[in-house]
Amino acid sequence: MAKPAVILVGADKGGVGKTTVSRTLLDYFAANRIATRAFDTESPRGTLKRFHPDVTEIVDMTSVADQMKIFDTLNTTESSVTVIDVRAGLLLQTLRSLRDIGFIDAAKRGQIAFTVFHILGPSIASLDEIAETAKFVTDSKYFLAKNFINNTTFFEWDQATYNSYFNKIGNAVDITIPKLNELACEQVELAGVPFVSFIANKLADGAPANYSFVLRGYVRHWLGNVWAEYDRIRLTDIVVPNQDAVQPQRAAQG
Amino acid sequence: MTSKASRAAVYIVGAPRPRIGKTLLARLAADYARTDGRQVSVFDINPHDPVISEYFPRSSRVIDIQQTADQMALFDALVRNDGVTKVVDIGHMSFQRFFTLAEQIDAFTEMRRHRIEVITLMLMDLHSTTRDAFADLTARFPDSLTVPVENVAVAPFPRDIADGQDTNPPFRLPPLHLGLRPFVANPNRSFFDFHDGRADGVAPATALKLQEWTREVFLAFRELELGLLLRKLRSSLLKAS
Repeated sequence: MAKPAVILVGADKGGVGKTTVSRTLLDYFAANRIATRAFDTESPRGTLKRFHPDVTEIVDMTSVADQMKIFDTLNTTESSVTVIDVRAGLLLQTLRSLRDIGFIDAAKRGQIAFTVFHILGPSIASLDEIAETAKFVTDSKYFLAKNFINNTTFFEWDQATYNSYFNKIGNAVDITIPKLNELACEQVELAGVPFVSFIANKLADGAPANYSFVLRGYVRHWLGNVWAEYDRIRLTDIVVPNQDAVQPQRAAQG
Repeated sequence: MTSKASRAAVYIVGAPRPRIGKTLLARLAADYARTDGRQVSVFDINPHDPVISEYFPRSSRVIDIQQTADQMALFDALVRNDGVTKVVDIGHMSFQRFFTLAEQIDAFTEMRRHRIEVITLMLMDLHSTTRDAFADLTARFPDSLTVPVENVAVAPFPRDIADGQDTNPPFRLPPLHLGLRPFVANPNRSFFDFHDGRADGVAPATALKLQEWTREVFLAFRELELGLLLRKLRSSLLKAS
C-alpha cells in the first residue's frame, strides 16, 4: 500500500484564508482523481464541512480521541490524502502534538508523506510564525502561501525582511494564491458549494443552479491559477508519488 | 436550416481609437435587426459619454465595464439564448478591458455553446494601435468571426488586412453625404424609419438618399450574415467528409 499523505493547512491567525486553501486542495485532488478525506478543526461548527460535507469530518484537535480518529486510521482509510484544516491559533500546538505522538518522526522515516501549507497573513507576526513552524517540518514539504484572495496587501512586509526569514528555511517553497473578485468570492460563500460546483453551475445536491456566468468565469479563471501553482510544486507527485499522470478535469469547464 | 439560424444574435462593435464611427455602426446593426423583425437590446459601454443609449432609450443599458455588477448585466445577457439580438457598442476606453474580460471568463466559447452567433465588427484605420488590436483579436479569438470595417468617410483602410481576409471580406460603410448627417445624428430619427422611407419633415429627395444609403448598409449586413451561414455550412461539410 502507498504511504499515506497528510496535508496540514494552518496559520496562527484567523481570517487569512486557511479554509479557502483547503477547499482549493480538495477540488484539486478530486479533479486529479485522488481520493481525499478532510478534517475540519473548527469544532463544533465547521466551515470546511459546509462546502465539502461528503468528505469532511469535524474534529477537536486538542482531544486525544479525535487525534486517534485522524492518525490511527491513516493506514486503513481508503483515501490516499488526508487534509487537515487547522483552526486559527492551533498550528504550532498541533505540530507539537504530532511530534509528541511520533508522527513527525514517522514522516522523517519516510512512512508518511507530510506536507504543511502555512497561510501567511499581512503582519510581521506571520514571519515569526514561519521560524517557529519551520522547526517541526525540516524533513517535510513546507509551503508558504501568500494568500491574496482577501486583497491582502502584506503591508507590513518588506521584501528584504521576508527574504531574510525565508532563506533561513531550506525546504520552504512559497506559493501565491491570487485575488478573487470580491463579488464572486461572496457568491460562492453564499452558495456553500465547492468551487468546481459553482463553476459548473450546480447546487450542493447536483441540481442545476443559476449562478452568474461572469462570476463563474471569475472563479474558473482564479481556480485555474491556483491549480497552476499546485502543478508547479508538483503536488500530486508529493502526495501520490507513483501515480500515473492524470490530466485534471480543469475546473469542470463547460 | 432556417434563415433564423444564420442570424447573428450578438453584434460587438468596437475599435481601440476614438471618433471612427463605432456608435454609428452599432446603431445601424441594431436598426438592421429591428427591420428584420427581431427584438434588440443595446449595451452602451461608454459610461462617461453614453451616446447610443440616447437613440435606444427603452432598449439600452449603459455599462461600466470596470464594475462587476455591470459586467454581470452585460455578459449574463450575452450568453443567454433568448432570441433577442444584442448589440454592444464599446467605447475606445473600454475596448481592451472588454476583450480581456471576455477571454478571462471564456465568454465567446459560452456563447457558441448556447448556439449564439457572434460577429465582432472592428472599425479600422491605418494607426498601428488599430492594426495591432485587430491582429490581437483574431489571434485570441480564432474561432470567432472578427470582421474589419472600412468606414469610407472617416479613415483609410489598411489594404494588407483586406487582402488577408479570405473568407470574411471587410465590411464597407459607404460615405454619407454631409448634408444627410444632421438627420442621421438626430436622436428622434432612426435608420429603421429611413429604411422604410419614413422621414417626416424631410424633403423627398433627401429622404430617398437616406433610404438608399441605409438600404446599402443593411444589404451589407445581410451579406455578412449570409457569409456566416456559408462559413458554417462549409465547416459542417468538412466535418462530414
